Amino acid sequence: MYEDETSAMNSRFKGLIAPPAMMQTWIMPRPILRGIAERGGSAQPLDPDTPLPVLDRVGFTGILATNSDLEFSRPLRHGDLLCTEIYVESISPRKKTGLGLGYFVTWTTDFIDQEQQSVGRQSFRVLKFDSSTIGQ
Amino acid sequence: MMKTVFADIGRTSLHADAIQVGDAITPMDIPLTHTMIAATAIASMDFMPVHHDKDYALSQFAPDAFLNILSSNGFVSKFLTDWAGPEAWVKKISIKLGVPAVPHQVLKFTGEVLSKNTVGNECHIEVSVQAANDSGNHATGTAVITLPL
Repeated sequence: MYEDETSAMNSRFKGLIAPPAMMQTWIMPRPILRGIAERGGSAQPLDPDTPLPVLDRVGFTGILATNSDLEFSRPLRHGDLLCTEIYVESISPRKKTGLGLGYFVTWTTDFIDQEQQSVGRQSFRVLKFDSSTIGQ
Repeated sequence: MMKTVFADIGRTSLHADAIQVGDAITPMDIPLTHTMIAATAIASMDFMPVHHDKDYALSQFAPDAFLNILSSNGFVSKFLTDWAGPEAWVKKISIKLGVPAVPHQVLKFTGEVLSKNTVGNECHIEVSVQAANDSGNHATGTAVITLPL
């Protein structure tokens, strides 16, 4: 379905489709490799006023992904052009965790096609923690 | 189990009618190596050093370089379509992440059918999914695939 045009044409998809779980790949930024470790692994510098850099600046530099919810509305095909809208869904109160004090940050990415239709969304939750506070 | 054969595909897809609540999904084992972890991260455009640079991963308190989440979701998708066949389409994957998936361990995927619903001319099949290694559960959750009726 992903690579063999003849098989895909003869399937209910009537043509090649993209592997659904790669939706996020299509919008990943082109990486600037220099300095990537110093940026905590971000492919490009992040807007300093978004939640993750703000938490970094006040000591919650650790990051651990805890949940991913992916939902797809239709198969993606060659020629589709995607853009995204990202919004922060929630930031938890400060919590005690096994990795130290931290905040759970949840954001949702809406994937929108060239017809302005939603083709899928991902909700993603990370724990931003301060490992120097383990046991506090 | 009843299967529909698509001659041109050379692989079989499960027929929705043949799937019952409680059916086990065919287990899938992925033996992880540094190469596979690095290759799948880069193939999914994820250049976070924790996925290809062991020294960096250790500095972040990880036991080794570890699988990126895009690839965890990709393997869940493969697990489901290897079982249900090429006519299945993955509609939803919701996972809670646990221990990191590291090299030299086998990531074992298991799951079972939780529910079946008819939506238009499709059958939506909800399944549980678990991916575990020697250290515990890497990912647990649910997924939904669709099959034609």
